[in-house]
Amino acid sequence: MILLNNVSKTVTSGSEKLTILHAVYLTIPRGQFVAVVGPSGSGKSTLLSLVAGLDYPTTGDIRLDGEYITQMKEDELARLRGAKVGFIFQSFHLIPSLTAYENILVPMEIAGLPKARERAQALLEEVGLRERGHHYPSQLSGGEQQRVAIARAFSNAPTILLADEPTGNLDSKNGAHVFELLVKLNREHATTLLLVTHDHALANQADRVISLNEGRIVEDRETEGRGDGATGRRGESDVFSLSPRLPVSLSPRLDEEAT
Amino acid sequence: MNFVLNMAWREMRASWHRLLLFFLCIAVGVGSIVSLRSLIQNIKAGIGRESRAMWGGDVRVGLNQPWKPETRATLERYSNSPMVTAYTEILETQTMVIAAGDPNARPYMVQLRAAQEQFPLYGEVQMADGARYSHAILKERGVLVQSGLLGTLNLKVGDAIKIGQLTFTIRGVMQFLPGNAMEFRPLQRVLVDFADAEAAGLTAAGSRVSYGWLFKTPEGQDEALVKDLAREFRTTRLNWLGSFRFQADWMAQSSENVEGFLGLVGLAALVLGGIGISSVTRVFVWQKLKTIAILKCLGGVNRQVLGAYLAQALALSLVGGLLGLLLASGVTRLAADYAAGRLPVRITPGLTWAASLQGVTIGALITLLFSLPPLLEIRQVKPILVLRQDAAARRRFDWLRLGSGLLLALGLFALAYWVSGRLNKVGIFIGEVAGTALVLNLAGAALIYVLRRARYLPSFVLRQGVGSLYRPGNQTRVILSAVGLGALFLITVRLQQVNVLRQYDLELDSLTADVFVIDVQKDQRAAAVETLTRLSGTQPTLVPIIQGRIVELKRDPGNWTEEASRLSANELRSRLGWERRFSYRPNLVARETIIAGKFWEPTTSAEPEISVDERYARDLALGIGDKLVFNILGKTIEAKVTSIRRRERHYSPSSTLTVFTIIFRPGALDDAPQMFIGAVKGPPPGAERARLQREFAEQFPNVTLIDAFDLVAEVRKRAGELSFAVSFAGGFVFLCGALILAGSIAMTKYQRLYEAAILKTLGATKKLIVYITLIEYGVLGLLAGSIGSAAAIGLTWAFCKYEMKIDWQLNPTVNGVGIALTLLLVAAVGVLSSWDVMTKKPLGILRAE
Repeated sequence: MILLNNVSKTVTSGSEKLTILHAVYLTIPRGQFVAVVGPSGSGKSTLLSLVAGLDYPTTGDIRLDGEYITQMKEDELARLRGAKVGFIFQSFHLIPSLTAYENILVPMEIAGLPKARERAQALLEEVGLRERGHHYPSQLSGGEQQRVAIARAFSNAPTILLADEPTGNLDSKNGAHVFELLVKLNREHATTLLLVTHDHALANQADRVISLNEGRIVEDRETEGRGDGATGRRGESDVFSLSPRLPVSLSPRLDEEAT
Repeated sequence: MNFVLNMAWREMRASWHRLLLFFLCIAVGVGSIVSLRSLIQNIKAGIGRESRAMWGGDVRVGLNQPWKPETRATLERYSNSPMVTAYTEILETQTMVIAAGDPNARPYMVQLRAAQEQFPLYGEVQMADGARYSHAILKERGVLVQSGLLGTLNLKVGDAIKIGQLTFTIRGVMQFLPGNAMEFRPLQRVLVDFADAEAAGLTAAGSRVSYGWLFKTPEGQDEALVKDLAREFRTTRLNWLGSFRFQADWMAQSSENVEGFLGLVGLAALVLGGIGISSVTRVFVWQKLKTIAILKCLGGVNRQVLGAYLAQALALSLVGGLLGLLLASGVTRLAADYAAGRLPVRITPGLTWAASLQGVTIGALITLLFSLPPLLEIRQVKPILVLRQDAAARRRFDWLRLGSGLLLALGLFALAYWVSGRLNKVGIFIGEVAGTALVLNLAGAALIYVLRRARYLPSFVLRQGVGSLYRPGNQTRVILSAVGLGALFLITVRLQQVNVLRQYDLELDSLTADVFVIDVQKDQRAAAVETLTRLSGTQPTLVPIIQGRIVELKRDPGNWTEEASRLSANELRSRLGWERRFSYRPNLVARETIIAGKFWEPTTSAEPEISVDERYARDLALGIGDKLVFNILGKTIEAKVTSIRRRERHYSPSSTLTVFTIIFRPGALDDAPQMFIGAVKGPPPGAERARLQREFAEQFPNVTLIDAFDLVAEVRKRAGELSFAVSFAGGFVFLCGALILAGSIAMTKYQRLYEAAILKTLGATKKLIVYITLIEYGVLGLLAGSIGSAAAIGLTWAFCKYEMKIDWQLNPTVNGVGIALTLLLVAAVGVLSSWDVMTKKPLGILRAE
């Protein structure tokens, strides 16, 4: 479960202070597929980076599966990410000096997981790139690179998957293919998926859509979704998202749930 | 651990070409340390292996006059005792040789050895054609020569040469002659039969011959024999008595000093390599920021990521170290060939285990010390970089970085101590490197400061070229440090060589005499003066030489100073008693001043008076009024010290002939047995000069004639060889400098590629970009060369003035050429290293960005 309590982020630009994210309260139950939408500069990626522990919030707490990540040191955060969080980026962010296979292998090696090689090979096959494992990122197409990135993201069997516009750099055909793969794996591995996207059509396939604007949550709604039980847990959640717009009286439930 | 090693391997596999410079720096540094050290260790091993052959036997006894019958009897008695298993006699002298049958040939001075059948007791005479030496070769007037003599006299094997009154046939060329001991005389050597030396008249009265007796003893008996002989000859002053161990120790000590020096030269190359490594690593980390951020995103903790890159650096240093060993192996082979015939010992080419291990270890330590500070930057890289390019690392005080800096300083100190073994040398080394590096660094900072403010440069090319020197990520300071240190080293070596050699030119120009005759007997005096005057056209000066011994010091009661009282009887005895040469003259000569007492009037006096050299006076704590008792060929003379002289130290080919520790006032020694040294200004080199030498040698075969031109030519050759050897060692330093330069340029290439692409899209031609690059590196080269050159001037001035005590002169040509070459090198490497920046199409680069 992901829990954000009064999380804000302010940066200093020259002599001016700029608040990118205003006091966000958010609860995402385990297994939920959440899409975050909003215009450029609305704070989507900042929200994602805070949840991943890549950056520290200016105020508030973030808990991942009950652990307060805002109080963790850098190396503790890295270990947490290695154990629980998978990433997929718009520009893939594969390590150029490693082959596709090695890129998938790396998180498992860092975590010291057993049978990493077999698992990397299996994931490579799962994303349909069995024959391309020895290729370097520069030798792969954009779609292929993103499939490697997806395999890498799932390599450590994360409980939380964070995707920052994963189809943003792909054409519509490749984008659709990658999205399908992402959703399929997400369903199979029962991970919580937080997807940042501009694409409302994609967002509408999520269980829940959160809209951001100027650093504030302006809408938080459950969708009809794919209607195929993709997430498998939709409606099972006994909590719901909170934001400052919601009645304050509901706040205790948040705390109760968090414990 | 798995991840660290795998990642290090994968990164190395992908980035080896970017890190080529990294391991080249290590390779050259390790190569220099290992080759220089191996070379000297091989020389030491050679000394250990061949010390008996060099010494000529286990024990050597020598005297500068013929053996007296009683001495000979003692030596023969020992030769036939169980302490000795074999023995032989040799004699050595300097004499003139001349091509026989050529009336216009000029004589040439050589070092002659006459040997008996048993020679050599150890080792073997090595022949150039590989033939085996046997004494029979020398029978019936045979002579072996060194190849240099054949060249000088334009002769070949089979030709005849005249030595003394006999004509010899050249039977072969020697490559190695055992028994040269510590002789480093620059004369060519010849070997003849023992009996022939006497027959040729070389041992006639008045000749400067040293007689040697070589013994072979059972293993471990040498020291006992030396002790016994010392006891036997307590009253006879021998010129030589010692076992091969004395020489081995002396040479080992000398080579240790050289080893320390060469070790520091090698370390200097490696430290420069370290600067290069630091610079490469910094840029490498900068280029890998994104990968590091991704790894951290994927769960990599600082220890793991840092470990991966550190392992990579160490692996590269090991590969570089191995490459360095390969390089060193080639270098030692070349050096062994070069040294063959120039050193009194044969060197086995190859690397020593100790040097190889030390080199590779130092390489790894230097890598660790220099790459750690930039690698620690990895800790500052934030994983958020994968999402936001502009996410700057939070800069805060880093104790670890400070610690790594301190570790670097301490590590360098420890390494310098390890290679040189002496604390004072370490201090000088660290001081010099740090001092020059500081000056170069400050100059770099000043340059950047000044250029940044030079906004109104007239042309676009100039603005762009100069601008590159201070833009972010510039390598100005690194290049200045690396190239400046390299330039300093090479210009210093060359300047010093020029100053020393010029000293000899000065001497030759200012010499009132350039031909010296030694051992002119009293009865030959008039004839020698007549011949020299006739053949040279000038009147020669003849200086008398009296041989004798100081047997006693009678101190004046008023001269019992503290120093005098401190001298023990043993110390005094050891400083008196030796056979010495004295002279008498009415006046002081050039470079002499009186520091105590009063020099005599230029008249004769029957009352013996002496003037003593300052250093000898200090050794004996002599004062004015003290008396020295001399034994001159059995006659006792008591002479009073009336003055103490100071002689300005000065290099001169004639100084060893005419400088005397003690001179007498004319009168007291006029009738003592004496011989003369003559000096005359000869005709310029050519037929006339050859005639002087030839005729004089024929008329006075016992007299040694020394041509200052020959001597200076030999000294020049030796100085040239020595400076080549030092330049060779310095070449490593310069090579490292050039590598760092190329690397520093390559490092900024990615930034340059992008900028050049933008300039090209804005209309800049390739030529324009070449000009910009030329200006950028031209300025750097000019500054590095100028600072290196200025530092070299200071260093050579101090060295000439305080260490060698010779005149120093500015040599604008060497400095000018040094600066110009540095400028050209830096500009050329700059343009060549940036070639693809100029040639790559802009579109591809801009797309990639």
